[in-house]
Amino acid sequence: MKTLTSLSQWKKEILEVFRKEWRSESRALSGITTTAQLCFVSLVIINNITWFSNVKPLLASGLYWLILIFIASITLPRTFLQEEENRSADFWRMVARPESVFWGKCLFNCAQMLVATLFMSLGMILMLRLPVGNPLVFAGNSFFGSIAIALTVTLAGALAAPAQNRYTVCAAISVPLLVFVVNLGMTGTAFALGEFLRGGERAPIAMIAYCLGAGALGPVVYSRIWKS
Amino acid sequence: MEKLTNSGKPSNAEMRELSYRLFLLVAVPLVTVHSYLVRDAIGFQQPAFARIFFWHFPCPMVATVLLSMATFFAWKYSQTRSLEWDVRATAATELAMIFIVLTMISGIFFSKIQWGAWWQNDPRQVSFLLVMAIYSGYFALRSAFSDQDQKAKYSNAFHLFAILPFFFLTFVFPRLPQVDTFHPNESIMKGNIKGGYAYVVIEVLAVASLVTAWVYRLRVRAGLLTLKIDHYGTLENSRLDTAHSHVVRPVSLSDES
Repeated sequence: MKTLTSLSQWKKEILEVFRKEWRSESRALSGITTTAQLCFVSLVIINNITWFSNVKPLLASGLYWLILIFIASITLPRTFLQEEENRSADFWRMVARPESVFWGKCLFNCAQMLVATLFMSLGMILMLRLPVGNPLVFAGNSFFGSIAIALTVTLAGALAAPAQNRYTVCAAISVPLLVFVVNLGMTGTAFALGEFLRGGERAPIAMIAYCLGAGALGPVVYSRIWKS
Repeated sequence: MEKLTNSGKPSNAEMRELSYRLFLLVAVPLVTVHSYLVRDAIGFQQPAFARIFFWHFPCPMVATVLLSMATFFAWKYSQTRSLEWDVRATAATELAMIFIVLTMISGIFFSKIQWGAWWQNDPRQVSFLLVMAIYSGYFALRSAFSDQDQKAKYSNAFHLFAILPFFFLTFVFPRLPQVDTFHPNESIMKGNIKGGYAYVVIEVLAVASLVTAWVYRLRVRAGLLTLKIDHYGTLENSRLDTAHSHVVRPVSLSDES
C-alpha cells in the first residue's frame, strides 16, 4: 500500500513538472516553433544540396542524426536553462524532489524530441525519396535514439544551467556526449535504409542499453547538484 | 600534509621526493636505451619505427586508470563535498588528458608510418578522439564557473555521467563484432608480444605509471596548498562556516552604523 502511495506520489510530481513545462511552452510555443523551423530549414538545405544526385543511405543517415543533435542541443536545454534565467529553479527545490524534476523535464524533452524526429523522418523519406528497407529497425532506432538524446541533453542542461555562458557550455558538453549516440544511430538508420552494415540491426538494442544507463545515472547525478 | 623541517635535515617528504627523482633519473634513460636494443618487430611496414608502440601502448592504459580514479574522486566529492576530493579529481583528469593527447599524437605518427595515412578513421582512433572531446567538456564546464564550490559540484557531477560513454567507447565499442579495427584487440591475451618486446612494454608501463604517480602527487599537493591559501585569505569574510556553529565571535560595530 505504501509502495503504491509513493508510486502515485512520484507519478503526480513528475506529471506536475511536465504540466508546468507544457503550460510555459504553450504560452509562447517558442520551443516547438524553433524545433519545427530548424527541422524545416535543414530539410530544405539538404534537399537543395542533393537535388541532382542520389543520396547514399550512409550519408542520408549521417545527415539525419547530425540535424537531430543540432536541433536537440539548441532546443532541449531550455527546460533547465530557462528556470535559472527566470530565477524559478529555487521554487522546485522547495516543493519537489530532484528525481521527479529531472524526470518531468526529461519527459517533456522526450516528447519534443520525438515530434522533431517524426517530422525529420517523414521529411527525409519524402523529400530525399529514401526507400526504407527495414521499417522496424528504422522506427526503433529513431525512437530510442531520440530518448537517448533527450536524456543526455536534459542532464547537460541541468549541469550547465548555473554557468555564466550557459547555452554555449551546454552545447560544449552535450555534443561530445552525443557523438557516440549519433554513431549508433547512424549505423541503425543506414542499415534500415538498405546499406549493408554488419550488426546494424542490433543498433536499437545498444540504444536501449544506453537509454537504461543514462536513465539510471541521470537522476542520481542530478540529485547530486540539487541544492546550491 | 607533511611539514618541512627547519633543522637542516631533510624531512620524510623531501627524502621521498628525492628518491622518486633519482629513480626516474636512472629508469627513464635505461628503459629508453633498452627499447632501442631489442630486435626489430616482424610484420610491420617499417619495423624500426614499430618502437612507437612502446610509448603509445601505456598512454591509453594510464589515461584509463586516471579517468576511473577521477570518477571515484568525483563520487567521493559528491558524498562529502570536500574540495580535497575535487583537487584529486581535477589532478587525475588533467593528467589523463595529457596522456590522451600523447596517445593521439603517437597513434597518428604510428598510423602514418605503418598504415600510410595520418588519420585512418580506425574505430579505436575515433573512440579515443571522442573520449578526448567528452573530457574537454569537463574543462569547459569548470571554466564556466567562477565560484570554487560550484565549479567542483557541477564538474564532478559531469564526471559521474561521462563515465558511461567513456567505458562504452573504451571497452565495448572497439570490440563490437561489426567493428573492423587495425588495432589488434588480443595481442597481449594471445601472447603475441613476447621476448624483449614484452619486457620493454612492461618497463615503459612501469616507468610511465611511476612518473604519473609522481606528477599526480605534486599536482595534488599544489592544489591542496592553493586551496589552503584561498581559504586562508577568505577566512574572516567568507560566507562559509569558518567557525563551529556554537562559537560566537565578538563583533565590533562602528559608530556610524
